[in-house]
Amino acid sequence: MGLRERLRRMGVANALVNAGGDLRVLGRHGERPWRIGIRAPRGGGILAALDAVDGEAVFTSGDYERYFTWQGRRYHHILDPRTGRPARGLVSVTVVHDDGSEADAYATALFVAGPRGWAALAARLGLRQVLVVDERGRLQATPDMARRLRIVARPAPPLEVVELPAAGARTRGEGE
Amino acid sequence: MKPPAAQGRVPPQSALLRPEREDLRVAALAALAVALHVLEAALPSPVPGMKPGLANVVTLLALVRFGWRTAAWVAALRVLVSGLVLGTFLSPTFLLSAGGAAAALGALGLAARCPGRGFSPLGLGLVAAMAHMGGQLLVAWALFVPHPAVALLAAPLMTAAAAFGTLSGIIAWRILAQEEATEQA
Amino acid sequence: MRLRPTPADLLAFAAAAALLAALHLHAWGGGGPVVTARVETPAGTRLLPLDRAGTYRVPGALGESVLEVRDGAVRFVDSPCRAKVCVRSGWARTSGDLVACLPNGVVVTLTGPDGEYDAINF
Repeated sequence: MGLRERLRRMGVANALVNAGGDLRVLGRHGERPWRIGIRAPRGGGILAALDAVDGEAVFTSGDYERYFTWQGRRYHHILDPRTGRPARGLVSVTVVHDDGSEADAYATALFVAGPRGWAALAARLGLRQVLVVDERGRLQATPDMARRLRIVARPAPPLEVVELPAAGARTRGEGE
Repeated sequence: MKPPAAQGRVPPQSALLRPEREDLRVAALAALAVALHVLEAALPSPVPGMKPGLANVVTLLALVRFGWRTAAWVAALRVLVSGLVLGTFLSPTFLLSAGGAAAALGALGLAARCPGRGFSPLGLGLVAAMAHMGGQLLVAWALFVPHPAVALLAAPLMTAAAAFGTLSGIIAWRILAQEEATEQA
Repeated sequence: MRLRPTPADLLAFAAAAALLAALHLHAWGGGGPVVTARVETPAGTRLLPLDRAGTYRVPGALGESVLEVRDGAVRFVDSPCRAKVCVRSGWARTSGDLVACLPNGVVVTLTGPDGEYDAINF
């Protein structure tokens, strides 16, 4: 039985389930939607905010929660299976999706796909709402994500809206 | 109140396991407290956290009749066993209950040392209930919701605690008065 | 046993009444909603309630910034920066207001009682 169904049976229609930073919301916060802040991956508070509605899961994969630094380089916990080393290029990927476990796995997959590959992979996985932050702090987002996102970090980092390639199209430059 | 097995001779099995008078007394009082606690848990409550706390009457009786040590044993056993019976052992509910009981016992310990005529069951009931609720709110704030709104919740909950504490004080006093009358007769 | 309240009882009831009065005043009175200042520094974030006056020294990248809280508002009194833009910004008092000393890395944001976010994703 899914989380939603379980809570429903317990009579809970409105809930925010926070699994240590990864979230799923059900229903609403009273008269308004749930307000979610997305933490800035390199510290300094909140990067962006979005209002989440019934059933949405917000998941982020980043290199900033579990890592060590050695000789000036960050070794984090998301490994690229093609190299066996920590995936490089992005520092965080945030996915909004209607399935929590899928969102979790997809966010990590997009992280590994890297700055040039994430959009193609997102299209193939059927994801519509993705935000990525690269190593220089620049943001990229899908149109659906960019529309609902409110950048709150000051100074506001540059945000590029990336159209998703048509699903199924073969892609160039996937991965690195 | 007579411990149930007190009048019969306990068979002399192992000296180590033979319950003493005090053990039987604690067990009987704790059993009563557990029953009240579990019964109350089954009652619906209009506001979360608002319960009459009738089990505290037993703690009060234990304190007045047998002293603080007995009261502490009864309260500790009541919290532990009720947690096991209700399936809340080590859950937030249990921690709140334990925090409240510990605070109430602490306050009763201080109140029992009060010089002069000390506290009547009435005052003890009030002090215990207020400390109980205060302890619970502190535990809630420290462990679960460190939000300033907990302070807002304190007003209605502490008011209810004062009312129910006085009530349990009156009940304890009535029971003690009746016991006294029976013993004198 | 007659139910005669002892002096200690009366004292306990008086204390309880005072405590309850204070709690209810705090809960129902107190005028407007409580605004909280979130102070972000390089060393971390702390919250200052604006319903209590006081002076706070917060460590920053260059040195200590001095914040003053009074009458539900907060301002920079001093900061180890050159331009003193923060000090000249004056008081911040409504939810959403922001005063900052960027050279020192100290950012003060005011948030309403509702809280800005229900949860933070990371």
